[in-house]
Amino acid sequence: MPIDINWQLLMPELVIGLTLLLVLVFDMIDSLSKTVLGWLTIVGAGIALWVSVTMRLDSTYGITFGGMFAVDGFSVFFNIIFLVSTMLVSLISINYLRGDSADRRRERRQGPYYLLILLATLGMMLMAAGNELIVVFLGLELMSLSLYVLAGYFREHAVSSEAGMKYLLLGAFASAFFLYGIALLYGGTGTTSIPAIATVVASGSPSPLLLAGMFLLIVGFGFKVAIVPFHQWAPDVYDGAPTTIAAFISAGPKAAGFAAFLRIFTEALQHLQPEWGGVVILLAMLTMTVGNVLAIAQTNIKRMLAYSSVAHAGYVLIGVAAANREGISSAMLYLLVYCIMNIGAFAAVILAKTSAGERLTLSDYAGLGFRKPLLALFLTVMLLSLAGFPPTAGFVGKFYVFKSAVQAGHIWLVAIGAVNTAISAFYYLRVVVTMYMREPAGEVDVSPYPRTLVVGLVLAAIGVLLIGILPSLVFDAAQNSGL
Amino acid sequence: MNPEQILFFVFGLLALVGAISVISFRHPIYSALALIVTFFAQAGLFVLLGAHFVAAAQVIVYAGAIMVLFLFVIMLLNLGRRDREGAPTGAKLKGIGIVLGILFAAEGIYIAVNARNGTAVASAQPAPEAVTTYGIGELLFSKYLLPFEVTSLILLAALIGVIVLVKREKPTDN
Repeated sequence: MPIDINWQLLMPELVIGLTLLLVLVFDMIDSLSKTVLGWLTIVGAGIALWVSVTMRLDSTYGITFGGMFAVDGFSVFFNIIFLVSTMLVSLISINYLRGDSADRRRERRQGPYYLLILLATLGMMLMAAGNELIVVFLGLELMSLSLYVLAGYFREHAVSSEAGMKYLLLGAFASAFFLYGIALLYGGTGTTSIPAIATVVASGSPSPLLLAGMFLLIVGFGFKVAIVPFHQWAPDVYDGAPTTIAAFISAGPKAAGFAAFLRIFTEALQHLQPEWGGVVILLAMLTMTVGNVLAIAQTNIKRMLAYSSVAHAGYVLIGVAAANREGISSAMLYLLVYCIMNIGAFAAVILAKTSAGERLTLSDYAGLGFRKPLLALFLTVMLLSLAGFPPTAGFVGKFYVFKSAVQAGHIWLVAIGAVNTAISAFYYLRVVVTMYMREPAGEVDVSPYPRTLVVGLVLAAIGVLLIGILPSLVFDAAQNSGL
Repeated sequence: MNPEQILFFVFGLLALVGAISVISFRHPIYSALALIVTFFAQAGLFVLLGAHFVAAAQVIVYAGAIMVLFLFVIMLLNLGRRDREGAPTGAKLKGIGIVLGILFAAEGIYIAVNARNGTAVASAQPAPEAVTTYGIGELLFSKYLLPFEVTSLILLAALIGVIVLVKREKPTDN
């Protein structure tokens, strides 16, 4: 029973796989500087990105591996999000990992870091393209397993190990929910193929098993993308994990979770929209409000960004709740924008570090605007974008999400979203105000800027402003990529 | 009652007794051993359903590998001792257990009640070849090739992860 495989459709995944093997081999050459591995990862992800963009332009779409793997505008667009995130994170990791030159041990342990990032990326790509619940689940596990280890990567720091442990326990819990949901869906429909489930669901009234499975899937996804009330792990993990990994976890994996969520709920369970639509609206309201309100209370900037990323998942859910073509494409656009600006914000936090360590509390940022004007400017751009001010990408993302919700008739949801944007502006601007208006308590001391980090931050800023000024650049692409 | 039904009740009873023993024994080692009984009984139920491969996997993987791991961890952490000193029982865990138990029981009863008219679960058509080991092997390398290959990547990720987390560092050479 041979099946035909269209290898051309798998090109981005194959490139990432090949890069993985190369990093694995080069890691064994002792005389080679470990920095090469970082560059190799960036080049590999870059080639995969180029291949994905070409596939997007040529519309090289199709379904292969016996219907398991769907390459369409949707999955290719998400591949682009993942690969951009991976490139940016690898770029900011190169200097970050080197750490203090005295710490030779960390220098030597860079290989597995990039291997795990590549494996996680591969998992995300499988989640976006999986046309079968089994493939989606395996992609999710591949991604999650790599992330657990990455969160605990600095095992010499207790907080990092704790973050890894916490993430592992709650992640395993979430996976169990997800898997049980799949099992019930299979029990209710007799198949795990997403298009086949859609056919069964469309043909009759849903069995209680199917509905129970659906809600379990929502819980599983809720944990993975940190939706309130399943968000408790996020601040602890972001705070304890290496800062580059916090940036990574907040970007690509969140997009991947939403990719699988969108594909399952708007394709397989499309006809159950009356059942899950209300739940998603409720979750969106809760997620936005709780995320933003808790972010206000934070004085630690990594925890603040963690709660802000929870809130941003809520904005994406507004687009999901609309569940029409515009809603899906606006959610996709929002995720792209969010990934770029969030990684940028984390990069700026890493860059602001002093010789004594990272600048983590809010008061550490006092006076940064005068002593390091350029860095403060870039951080300001990222924060304004996260808050959603024009002419940044954040504004474009929010605009289209709110617009799709208005079209779908969710006026109240948009009102709550707008109020939340105002709340979020408060804590983002508080950092800006601290940087420019407050006198530093002591001497502001900033380590010299590592070059790759600067490049990563500048690229993120260019992306944020470019999308902000010319939104049609990516919005048209997102609009043509909906499911 | 035909022999198959008798076997069903025997295995079902064994599984139940095993499961209840798991939560009633005070000593974790006894609990783990009782769990093996449950696993074997479940394997028997799988055989009655005609799923021989799943039954074998149940015995080899769960009753074999995973239980060895359980026992190993229990003995390594010396968990048996804490109980004798009167460790506090987790009231919160008990609450979660009761809630989950009710939910699972409700699901089981629902399926059992609706099984008579055949509407409980959708009739999945298991491919006839999926019963034998040969057939499952063929499926894994054809229809389910992609998931099968991804599993190997997951194992690779786990392998790398373990090495990252536990490898002993050589002292720095400078």
